[in-house]
Amino acid sequence: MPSSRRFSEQESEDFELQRAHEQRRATAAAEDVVRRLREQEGVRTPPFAHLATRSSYSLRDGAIRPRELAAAAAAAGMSHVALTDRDGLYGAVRFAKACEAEGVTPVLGTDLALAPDPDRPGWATTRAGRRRWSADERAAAAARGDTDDPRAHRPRAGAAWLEDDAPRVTLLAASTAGYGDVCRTVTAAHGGAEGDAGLVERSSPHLAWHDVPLAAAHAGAHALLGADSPVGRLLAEGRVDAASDELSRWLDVLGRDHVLLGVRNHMVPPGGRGGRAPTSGPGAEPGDDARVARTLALAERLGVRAVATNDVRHLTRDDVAIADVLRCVRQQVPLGARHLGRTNAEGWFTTAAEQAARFAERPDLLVAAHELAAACEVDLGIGDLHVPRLTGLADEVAAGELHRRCWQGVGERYDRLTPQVRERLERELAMVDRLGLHDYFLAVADVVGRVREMGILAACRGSAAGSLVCYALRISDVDPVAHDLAFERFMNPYRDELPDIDLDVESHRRTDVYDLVLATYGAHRTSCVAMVETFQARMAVREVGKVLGLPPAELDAIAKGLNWARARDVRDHVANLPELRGSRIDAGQLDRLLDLVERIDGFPRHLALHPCGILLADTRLTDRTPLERSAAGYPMSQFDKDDVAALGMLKLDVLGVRMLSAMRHAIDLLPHTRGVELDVADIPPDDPATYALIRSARSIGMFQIESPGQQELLGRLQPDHLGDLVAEISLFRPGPVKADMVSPFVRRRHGQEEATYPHPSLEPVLRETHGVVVYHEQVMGCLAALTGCDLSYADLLRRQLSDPDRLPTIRAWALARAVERGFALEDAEEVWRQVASFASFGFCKAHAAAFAVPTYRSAWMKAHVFPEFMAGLLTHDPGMYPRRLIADECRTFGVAVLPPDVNRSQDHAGVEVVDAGLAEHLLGLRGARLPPGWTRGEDGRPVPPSGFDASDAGDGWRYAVRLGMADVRGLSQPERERLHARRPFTSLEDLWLRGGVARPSTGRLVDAGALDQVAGVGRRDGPRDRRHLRLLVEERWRRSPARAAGADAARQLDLDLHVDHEPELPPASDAELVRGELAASGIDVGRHVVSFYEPLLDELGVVRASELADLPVQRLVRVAGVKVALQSPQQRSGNRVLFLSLDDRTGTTQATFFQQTLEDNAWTLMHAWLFVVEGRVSRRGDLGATVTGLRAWDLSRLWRAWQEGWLPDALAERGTPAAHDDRRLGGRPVGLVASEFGRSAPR
Amino acid sequence: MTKRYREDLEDVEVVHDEDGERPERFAWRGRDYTVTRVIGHWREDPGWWRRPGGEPVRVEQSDLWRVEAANGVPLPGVYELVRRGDAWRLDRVWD
Repeated sequence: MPSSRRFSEQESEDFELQRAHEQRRATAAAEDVVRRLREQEGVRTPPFAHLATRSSYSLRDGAIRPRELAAAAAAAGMSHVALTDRDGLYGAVRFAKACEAEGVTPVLGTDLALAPDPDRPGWATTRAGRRRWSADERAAAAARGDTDDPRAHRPRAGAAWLEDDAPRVTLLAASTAGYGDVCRTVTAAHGGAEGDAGLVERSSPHLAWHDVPLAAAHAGAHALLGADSPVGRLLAEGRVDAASDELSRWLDVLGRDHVLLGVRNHMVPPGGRGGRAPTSGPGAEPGDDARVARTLALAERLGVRAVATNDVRHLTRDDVAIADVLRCVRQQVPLGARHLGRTNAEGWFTTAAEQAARFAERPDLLVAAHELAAACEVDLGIGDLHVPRLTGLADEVAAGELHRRCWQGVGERYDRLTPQVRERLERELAMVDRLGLHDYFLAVADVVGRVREMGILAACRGSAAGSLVCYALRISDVDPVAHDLAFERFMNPYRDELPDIDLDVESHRRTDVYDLVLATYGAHRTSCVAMVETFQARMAVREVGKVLGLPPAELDAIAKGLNWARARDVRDHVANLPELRGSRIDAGQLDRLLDLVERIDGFPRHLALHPCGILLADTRLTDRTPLERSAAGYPMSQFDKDDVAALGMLKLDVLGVRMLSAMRHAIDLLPHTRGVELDVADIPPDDPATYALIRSARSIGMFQIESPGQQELLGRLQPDHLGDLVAEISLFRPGPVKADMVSPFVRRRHGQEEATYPHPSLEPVLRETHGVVVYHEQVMGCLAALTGCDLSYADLLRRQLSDPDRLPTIRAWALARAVERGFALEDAEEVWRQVASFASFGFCKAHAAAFAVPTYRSAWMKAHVFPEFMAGLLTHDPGMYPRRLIADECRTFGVAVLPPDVNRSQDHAGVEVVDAGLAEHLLGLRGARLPPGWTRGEDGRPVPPSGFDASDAGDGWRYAVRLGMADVRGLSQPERERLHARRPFTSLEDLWLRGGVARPSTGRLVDAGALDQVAGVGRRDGPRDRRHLRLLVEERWRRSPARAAGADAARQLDLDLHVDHEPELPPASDAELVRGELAASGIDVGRHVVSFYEPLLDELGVVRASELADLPVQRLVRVAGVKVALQSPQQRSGNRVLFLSLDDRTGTTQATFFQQTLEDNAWTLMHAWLFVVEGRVSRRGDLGATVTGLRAWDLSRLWRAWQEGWLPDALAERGTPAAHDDRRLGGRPVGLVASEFGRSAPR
Repeated sequence: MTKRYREDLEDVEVVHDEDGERPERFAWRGRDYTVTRVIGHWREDPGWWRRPGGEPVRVEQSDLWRVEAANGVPLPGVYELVRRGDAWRLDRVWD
């Protein structure tokens, strides 16, 4: 059961919708079967169960969803049904749950390919799979630096097999122990838990004969040898004796009771399709009647059980189309009979009667199948909790160790052990004892300790932060007693899932943490969790279209228009696509394409590594889940997080957080820039300067509170302690914002409105939030106060409040309890009304508190070590804003940004101490007029637009941020490494001779400004400007230094470079310079891009962001700037709202466009990068004036209009493509392109 | 020796019983044939994607019967009958 915390409202709605769809599909599947049964009424049939079936979890093969299979089996009156997906147990848990819901018993198994063996009869392949390198070949290739692995090649056109036609065997688990054996056999087929990932072709696992005994370890698994097994193939070729020998070998390994011959009658004619294949000998295709006869004869001869099967791959006959498409998608080949591995479409879900008709003479084969299924009994342990033994300590020892470490921990954490802390820890430890979680906590504490030892910043997130045990063990850094956090949200005896600890670590070190955990506990006890990627509309259109042979360019156009659409909604989306006009795909083809796309909606496409989950188990891990290797070589369970939760397995979520990486970057810079070692744990709490900065709402770069909306809320809330930050983070959620809990909270927070409580008894619970229900913990507290239940039970109730079916029952119970406890009925009803209405909005306080810690720490760093922190942000790009805005943020805090420099830059952004004069020059402070936004302080010194000057390094020196070489686009890693190893370079000539950088990359270095210093741009003997330098580089780099033989030649050329040879070039404009920088590094270092438009902005009467706050509400203004972010959050009303953030180098302005203004402006908003916006000033707090947009123009277009003298016309234009078409703009596609959320690319 | 014909058949009588369905009598080139034995009954699939675009995806398989049939002469011949939809065709004859 997924925990409710993980789902936002939107997500749970989607989840519900998804479930309803599954239900509907299952019902449809069942109805279809029932209809067929009606036709067969009166026919007496033996009992039957399908033993060989592939579902959609065969990953691009089967076309039945597990739920449909279960529903169809139930409708067909089967008591059992098996799922044997290819190469694994991917769908097993879902299928088992679906079967439970439908009332049939699942039989679990898998269909594995056998490792081809040309020397063994029946084990040969007639076509090879993709060629793969052996480990030796790969090592040899790596040694010579050749990365051209043939595995990387996908066929581009024409038929190309990715799959061999290896023989296969179906394994069925007969008992729980046998299920473990099947799991281990699957793992072995995938190369083994500890195996060398390099040896296994990830996408086509094979089971070697020497691993087959794994399936026999507990005599609990059956091998079903069907038409595709070695035995079946030999029989088809007419080699009865070889088939008999082969079957005997299986009997020797597995025993007579565990080998079955599968008999299938698809009524295939002899010679296969069109009778072309030979009917005996190698590659033989006898008719199915002959196959059946031969198989039954062999079964008779060796006394082996034969069972009827149908190798089900699709639900109905027509569904074979989906199976065909998937199979071709899998192999990346166009649809064609020879790629499908079938002769006719009989592999559908037959009922017992239909199956009986195919085995009219042998109904006992059906009975045998049913009896075999009925004898299988596997308990997956769904719904149970499985606490692993990780430490290897005996229970009592582990318990004693945990208690000791917790008491020692609180001793270190608290100066004085108050009775409150003591009592709390006792209560928590009692709960740990009760749930038997000692091992788990010790193991996680161990992991966290080691992670910190490795110098990786780690923070605990989620409800675990509410636990004192976690605080004492230093898993979490949030004091749950001081912040009054409840641990019942985390550990709860009533809940059917294990407490879940989520760990945030530096994003670029996440895999190090994986490696650490795997190395500590071993791959037999830990593995990563899989994530099932499903077909969404975009990918489905591409893949299905390719298989159908539709023109790729057209498919691409359609696919690009389908952003995140579900495949089943594809028609609605495509109907609105302008891209389809004039397409070469005709209506009929399109219709077929969309039909197929809809039908594969949500089918699993492939298995990826879940980005954060690590399973912590003990040696029973391999009994419970099959493992395979992820693309990066990590052992990975074939189950996803929902499956794992259903199995009651324990998972540690390790999330990579870029903010932590950014903070680490800053910390690593500090010893060099200030000679300071900073430990985040030592950051002083309640620092006034930090809160002053937070209150200014200049929060760009601060964790969790940097979005435009958060900035506005910061302005209103004016936080002055950590509790405010916790509230801020909790309040800024769609629910509270929509229910307008924010305004009363802010008013009460500032004493403008009296706090009221629904009932005096709730005051202790709600006092901290002035009577507003903000946190889950408060919902729990209110329920407890109302009914007298404990917090654990209250948490259980809280989780059920979102279920409309349960709500009336809980209400009645709660009110009755309240009245019993002495509440007046009206009071109780009032409390209930508030609690119930806020229950769904609340946010887990422990979670918010866990977030607030890095929020505060990042704010502290911004307040105290600004340049270093900014360098970290530029390097790891953690937030929602483009990097050029971060660079701009530096300037609004008075810190200059230096371009990359081949001789000085590190790989990533760094901090330098520069002469104050240079810094002032770079910031534009040397002119007669201060740049916009800057003011003069009382002492006459210039004050940056933010009001904070973060650059002073003392003694006339200033800090400046230096961009890194990695910021130069297109410069390859080897080039960077060469440059770094061979520097310093003394001249351009030197760089050419020794640098080893190609011409195009050097051009980009010039544009980014990285060669300004080495070439002496602007110096007397140097090139005049970057344009001139670029020309020199073009000339010089035309020849390879290796071929320019000898120093003489070099000297000769050297002469050519210089001043006497200066070409006739017009000087480069600043605009050109900045355009070059934006193209080369994405950051306008030299000048702010908006600054070029200043004269026009003055002409238009544009107000600067820094002046906006002083203007009265409702004043009609124009603002301008470069797009920082464009967000279009989903609104419940269905109306669209666009939030545009603009940066004009004095700060950012938020402009909001509501539905009614969008028709004229949406196109401009989506397409332009530089804007002028007209609208009315709006204000909802002390700070944070925003603009309610009425009109938006593309600033660069206005500029051109101004230059060409048609500005009034341009201002009168509607912001639609049509208007722009009239005016020679041209060149821009008419269709809408996807909006750039957050990160805008420079044009 | 096999001869291919691919000629349309009319008047094919089909029986249904517990062994499934099979043709019982058919007329070909003006003669009536009576099926004396069914040698084989198979199923083929011409490939749904070959249908022109615009038509819904539908799988239409053809049934193949290889039968021994007699038309009054002493020696019965082997005939292959194909049914697609409701249309019957004589595909091959062994004599």
